Parts: sequence; C-alpha cells; structure tokens
Amino acid sequence: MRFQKLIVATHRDLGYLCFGLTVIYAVSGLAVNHLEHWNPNYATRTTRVQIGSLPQAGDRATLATAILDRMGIDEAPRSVVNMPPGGLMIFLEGRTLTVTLDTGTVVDEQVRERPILYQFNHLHLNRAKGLWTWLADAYALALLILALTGIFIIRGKKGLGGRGRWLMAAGVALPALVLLAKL
Amino acid sequence: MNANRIVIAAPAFGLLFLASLVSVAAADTTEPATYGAGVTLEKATPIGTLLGEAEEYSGKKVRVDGVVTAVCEKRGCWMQVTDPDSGEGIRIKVDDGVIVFPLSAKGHKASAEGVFEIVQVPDKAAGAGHDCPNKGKEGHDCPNKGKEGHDCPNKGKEGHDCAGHAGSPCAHHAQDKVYLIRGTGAVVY
Repeated sequence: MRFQKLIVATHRDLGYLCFGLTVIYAVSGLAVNHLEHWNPNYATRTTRVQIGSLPQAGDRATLATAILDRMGIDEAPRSVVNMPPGGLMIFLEGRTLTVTLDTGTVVDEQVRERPILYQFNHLHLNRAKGLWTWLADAYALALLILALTGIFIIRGKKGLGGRGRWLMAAGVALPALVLLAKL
Repeated sequence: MNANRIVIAAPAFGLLFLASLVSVAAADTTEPATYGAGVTLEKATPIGTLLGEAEEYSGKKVRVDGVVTAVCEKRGCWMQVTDPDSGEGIRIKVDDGVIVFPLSAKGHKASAEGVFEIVQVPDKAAGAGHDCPNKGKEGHDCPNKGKEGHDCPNKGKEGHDCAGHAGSPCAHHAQDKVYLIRGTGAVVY
C-alpha cells in the first residue's frame, strides 16, 4: 500500500507540474508536424506595388532613399543590396522590398512571427539552447516517470490485469507496426 | 519518501523554468549572434572570387562576408550571404537542427565559414517532374529549390526570390553546377 501511495502521489504531482510544458510541446508538435503545408513560425504577406521607373545606375543608398520616399516609408533601411541585372533589395525591420528598377515594380514582403506559436516552437525545438536544454531533459524524464507510474495507478480489471494491459499493448504495437512497415 | 516531499520539487522546477525564460529572452537581443562554431578565419574570401575561381577553392575551408538576403523560412537550415555591391551570393547550408538561422537575420551583415563545395547537378531534367506546391505564387519559397536537379518553376518571375538563392540550381539553370558552403559556423551582426 505504501508503494501504491507513492506511485499515485508521484504521478499526481508530476502531472500538475508538467501541465504547462505538455501543452507547449503538444501544441507546437501539432504545428511543426505539418511543415510541408504551412510555416508554423512566420506569417508572410506579399504585395506588389508600382512606384514608377527608377534610374538603373547610381549609388544604392540614394536609390533606396528615393524608393522609400515614393512608398511613404519613414524608416532607415537595415541594408541595401544590388541585385543585378537591374534589381535592388531593401531590408527593413521584418520587411523586404525587392525592386525592379526599370519597371518600378516593388514586391513588398512583410513577415511577422505567429504569436504564441513562435514562442512555443522556440522552446519545443530547443532553439533557446543553454539552460533550456536541461529543463527539457528534466521534462522528458518526468514524462517517462509519468508513463511508468501511470500504468500502476489502477489495479484489478481496469488496470494491468485487464483492459489496461490490452490498451498498453495497442499503444506499443502501433509505432512498432509503423516501424516494421517502413524499415 | 512521501507525497509532500515530491511537492517540494515544484518550486525548484518553477525556478528552473523562469531561469530558462530569461535565457530565451537574452538570446533575442540585438548583439551579434554566433551560430555553430562561429568564424575562425581572419580573412574573408570575396564571394565573386569564390564563384569565379570555384575549382581552386573546392573542398577548402573559406570565410565569406556579406549581407543575409534569404533564410530557409521553415527550418532555418540555410542562409544566403550576398555581396551588397556585386549582388553575388552563396548559400550557407547547415545540418537541419544543428544550426538554425532565424528569419530575422535577413538584411543583417554576416560572416560565415565552412567548406566550399561544387555540387554537380546530374540532370537538369530530373527536376521537371517536381510538382512544387507553391508553383506560380508570388514570393514563393520553394522547399525544393536547394535540391539537386530541381527545375524551379518560378525562374524569372517577379516576386520569386531566385535572387536570394544564387547558390541553388534555380539561379544556375544555365549551368550544371551549384556552389555552396557546408557551413560550420556564422556570426550575424
């Protein structure tokens, strides 16, 4: 009975403790699982505007100032890059302007982080590194303990002695079958 | 050990969590960011020289300086470093997940280091069957654009960032070779 109490208490407290991280990892897991279909970190909006033809020669900084003036953008560019033949890229904060000088066409790409998802993915994919690596390790160990203690919480017909055994077998068989089919 | 002792672990775990969030915030500052092993070579090779004398530099460790003009949007597994004057650029390809370049690096000056490679494109027609999900879209960031043999359907279209991947087959349709640097590190300023 003493062992059973310890199992239940461990599972209960670790469960509460892991709630936040589990939500983060689950939501991010869903998001990054579909990388081929969408970008889970950034939302991009691309528009095209005509600003009239521009001189194709000259200092790129001067050209950039003229382009930003015509577009009504009051922001110093982070950088300006020549893109021959006849192109220019202007980088602003979260925004890239790709200019075709002779036609005066500007492709305006604005990128913004997806709120919440970006932060969740940052943690889930361990882009934070450093101390987060250790916390993620601790979380993984906690999940392992949750899984192990979870199977001993209920005894009898609904536990490992009955349906619990079959459900657990099904849960192990599913990934095993996928691996067998793929390898 | 009883249940109450386990509860004691909660504050410690919480403190660790808070400390980690602080480290996340610290990583987002505007200080120069080092990726992988950073850069160790003191002298950078001009990108134009690298592309012009590719055979000579093939297999050698090089450093390039320039502006980041494109970044792999989904995985951060490559970035394009371009000479702002000549517009010549080269892709810095890194292993997925080992080094992750953020999209926010675009427009920043950067130094990158790695082994310069000439990749032979076996058959340009090999990419003809590739059915890009973004074919025809403005600003299309084709997931296959760095792959050998990929024949970019957006070549020459306005809005398509072929300009941002000069080291990819898209920008070298007329050639059978692709130039890239297998990146070991970078510093984004």
